[in-house]
Parts: sequence; structure tokens; C-alpha cells
Amino acid sequence: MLVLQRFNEILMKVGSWGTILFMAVIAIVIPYEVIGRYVFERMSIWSGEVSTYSLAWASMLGGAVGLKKGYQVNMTSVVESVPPVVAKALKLVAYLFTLFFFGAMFYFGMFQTIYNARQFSPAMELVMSVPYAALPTGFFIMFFFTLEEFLVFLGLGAKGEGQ
Amino acid sequence: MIIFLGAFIILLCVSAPITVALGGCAMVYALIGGTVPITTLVQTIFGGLATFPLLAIPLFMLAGNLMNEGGLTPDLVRFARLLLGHIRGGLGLATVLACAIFAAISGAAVATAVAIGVVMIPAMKKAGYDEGVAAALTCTAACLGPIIPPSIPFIIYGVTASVSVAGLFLGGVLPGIVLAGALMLYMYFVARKNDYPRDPQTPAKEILIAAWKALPALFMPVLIMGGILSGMFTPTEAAGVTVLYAAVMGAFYYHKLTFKSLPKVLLASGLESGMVMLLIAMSEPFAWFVAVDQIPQLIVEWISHVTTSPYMILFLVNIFLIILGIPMETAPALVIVTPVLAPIAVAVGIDPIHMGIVICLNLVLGLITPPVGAVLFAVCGMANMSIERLSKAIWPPFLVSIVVLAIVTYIPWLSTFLPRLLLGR
Repeated sequence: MLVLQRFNEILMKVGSWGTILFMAVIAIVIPYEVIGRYVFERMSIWSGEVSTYSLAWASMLGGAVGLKKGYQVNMTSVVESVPPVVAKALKLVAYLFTLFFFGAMFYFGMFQTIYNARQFSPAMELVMSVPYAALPTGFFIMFFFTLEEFLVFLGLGAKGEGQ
Repeated sequence: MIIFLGAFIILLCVSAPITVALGGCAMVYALIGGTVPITTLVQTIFGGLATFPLLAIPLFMLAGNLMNEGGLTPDLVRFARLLLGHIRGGLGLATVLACAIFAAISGAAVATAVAIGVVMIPAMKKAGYDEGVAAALTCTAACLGPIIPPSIPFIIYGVTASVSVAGLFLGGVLPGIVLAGALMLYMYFVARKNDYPRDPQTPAKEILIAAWKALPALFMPVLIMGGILSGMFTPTEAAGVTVLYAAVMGAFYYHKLTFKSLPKVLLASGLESGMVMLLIAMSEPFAWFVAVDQIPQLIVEWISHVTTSPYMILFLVNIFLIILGIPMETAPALVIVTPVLAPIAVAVGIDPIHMGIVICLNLVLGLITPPVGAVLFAVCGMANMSIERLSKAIWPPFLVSIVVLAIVTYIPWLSTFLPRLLLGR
């Protein structure tokens, strides 16, 4: 468990700094495009691709870090209205399915990333694996964050962390 | 369709994250149905993320956060207070006005509630206002955030339903003004009934000085809407320019924004928008299956047995959305209902912009309905009061908002006049 927590701390740092980096790229490129058009009377062919691919990365990394920080929303009204034993069983199903979903999306995201290694973007001729890699990366982080939460739920975390 | 909807409802009920419920039901459908490869699911999710118009979402969130961090908000609040504080219930009126102006810069309700509430709720309490009235008014006025342009829900609706985002932005102006006016009227009568105090009359010169100081914030809506309407930039580019403007003002005019604080602001905006973007991306396969299974057509067919009147359909839509808004937040509810309701609107002859405004206003009000309301929780924390207390206090201004919703629903002109006048839509 301790190894997993340490690993997740690293993922958290990588995810956070990645989010900051790609948000900064978006925040610079879009105004640059407008200024370039009106001030320098020049349009760049790369800005659209750089900003949209950065958006994919920022969203997946931001979404992953947000999962750990409680930004992701879920509907708890049903779980809160049933007896505790049933609620625990329902939560168990939710955790197991979430882990299966993130795991499957990581696997198929990897498949798609490798598949796109020979595809190039129209403007920059960037290997399409680069933007597609945002998906498996994000789902990989989400899987391990959920796994830690699941182990805590099962009572395998530090004392007092379990449900 | 039964597998698809069944999986979605089960996943929601077991409290799986809504992003997982949206993507998970599509995955279960693909696995069991076997007609769609899962790689298509991945491609659709990627397509949902890498969409140029959606760049406006993180950018407007960043602009709002930069504005807060850069110190533009206090001057805005001071201006609103000096302008309206001398009227009975003036602090409440100033709260609504400050929320309306902040709404014209930020596109989110929680950001509006926090930015304005942190100053105005303590000020109202100090002046003798009931704590519940002050907090509930701030909550409801914060709903102006996503109605007065720019608006995150309008961007989500526009992209999902292929409706002009600029048209939706314009369509939100009059409903936003009506909501602000109705809340001010409500506050005025509450203040008269409870004999709330008023500030002393401020000399015009002082108001003008406050307006001058607040000018950087007041100019932002002009920059956003002026740029879009003049055709100088798209809504996405307007968001980018707003970010640049907020950063420059915060750093060089107000001297509050430092290079050191930028990572914190960028991360906060990235996490907020990451949540919304994941919802949109996961709703793409959901919307695809909804379209493939012709669910909107089935609902239209079913509704046509009951009624064919657009007014009656809008009434049913409102009831459905109000109920949906109780347990669900705006963004997830919006990405779920838009693929179903937008085609219905087209089928029965309702203007898509009008339908978008009605849906968004409805779901935004869900942010202040207990038990699940992001604005409600944010204001509770800020005002240091219990959710039970605020849940009771919220009802009067909430009912005022419901009346406004009915007005906006049954007077389509309010939503369609400006888009037709200025964009010819």
C-alpha cells in the first residue's frame, strides 16, 4: 500500500505539472493567434493543432488529478438512502466497474496510440500518437488513484482511512 | 437500447463517477452488442476532447480565476455598493449587480458565488441582514454567471447540439437581465419588510471614481461581446483575449498577480475544466449511441401521442429538468439531456437557441437546489452556515427564479431577439 501511495504521489506531481504546462500552452497560443492575425497580419497553420492537442492533454491530466482531489461528481442519493451494508455493496460494484473501465480504456487507448504511430496531423505533420497518448496516460493515472481509494475502502489503507 | 440505458442507470445508482457511467454504458453496449468496436469509443472520446470551440471552456475559467487572483473583484464590488447601496436593501441589490457584472466576465456560477459572496455576505450580515437571506440571495444571483455571457453551459450546449455559441451568448443577455431585475425586486421588498438599513447617499464624484477604478473589470464584457459581434474573433479567441487581458491587468495595473501565483491559477483552472471536459468527452459516445438508437425520435413519437403543442412540450421539458437538476450538477445533466432534447426541439419547431437557454437556465437553477448543489455548498462553506439552514432560506429567491424561468420559456422573444437582430439567426 505504501508503495502504491508513493507511486501515486509521483503520478500526482506529474499530472499537476502536466496540467499546468498544457494550460499555459493553450493560454499563450490562442491570444498569440489573434495578435498574429491583427498585429503581424500573419496566420499560423500550427496554432489550431497545438491548442486542441494541448486541450486533450490538459483535460485528461486535469481530469485525472481532479479525480483524486474530489472534482469528479457522482450521484450519491441512492447510496445514501439505503442501509449501510447495501451501500457498501453498491460502492464495491462502483469501484470494481470503475477500475475495469479505466483499465480497459487504458488498454484500448494504448492500442489506438500505437495504431496512430503512422498517422500524421494535417498541418504540423505531427505523429498522431502524441495527442492520442493523452488518453492512456490519463486513464493510467485514474486507474491507480482509484485503486488506492479502493484499497482504503476495503480497509487496507492506513488506520482509520477505511469506510 | 435497454442494455445501454440499464447500464447507465445502474452505474449512476451505485455512485460511480458520472464520467464512468457515461463512458461505461457505451462500453458495455459495445461489448455486449458487438456491433461497435471499442476502439471507435476511444476515437470518439478523443474527438470530443480535441475540439477547437471547447477551448473556450478552460480559457474562460482561467480568465475568471486570473481576475480573482489579480484583484479586479474588490473594485467591482465597491462600485456596485456605491451605486446601489443608498437604496433600501441596497447591499442586496449591489450583490446582484456585482454578480451580473462578474457573470459577464466569468462563465461559471460557483466562481461568481465565491468571488462576490466572500465580500458581500459578511457585509450584509454586518449591516443587519438575516444570514440566510444574504447567503440565499448570493446563491441565486450567482446563477447569473452561466446565463449572462460568456457561459460554460452555453458552450457545452452549442458544441453538443451544433448551435451557434455566439447566438447562445446573445440569447442569454435578456433572460439574464430579467433574472437580475427580478432578484433585485425581490430583495427590495424583503428589505422593506424587514427594515434593512441603507448606506448613506454617495456623491456622484465618488461613484465616478469607483467606476473609473472598476473600469478594467467593466471593460471585459465589452471586449468579449464586442469582439465576437464585430467578427474580430470567435468565442474561443475571445476567451483567449480575455485571459491575456485579465493577466495583464492583474500584473501591471493592480500589481496583485505575480509570476509565482500563475501555476496555482493554471492548475485550479485545469482541474475545473478537466472535470467538465471529461464529461463532454465521455458524453460523445453516449450521444452517438443515443443518435444511432434513435432515442430522440422515439421520445418525439411518444410525446406526439400526448401533445404536439410546443408550449406543452416546453412545460414537460421544464418539469423533467427541474427534477433532474435536484440530484445532478449542470454539466453532467447538460451532456446527458442535450443529445436527446435538442433534436426534439428541432422536430417540434422550437428555436434551438431558445431551447438552449431554457435548458441551461433550468439546469443552472439545479446548482442551488438541495441536496446536490455546488453553489449551495460553496456558499455554505463561505458563510459558515449549515446546509439545512441555507436549504430553507433558498426557497423564496429560488421561486422567484422559477417565475423567471417560466417567463423565459413562454416568451421566446427574450432569447431570440438579440441573436436575430445582431447575427440574423
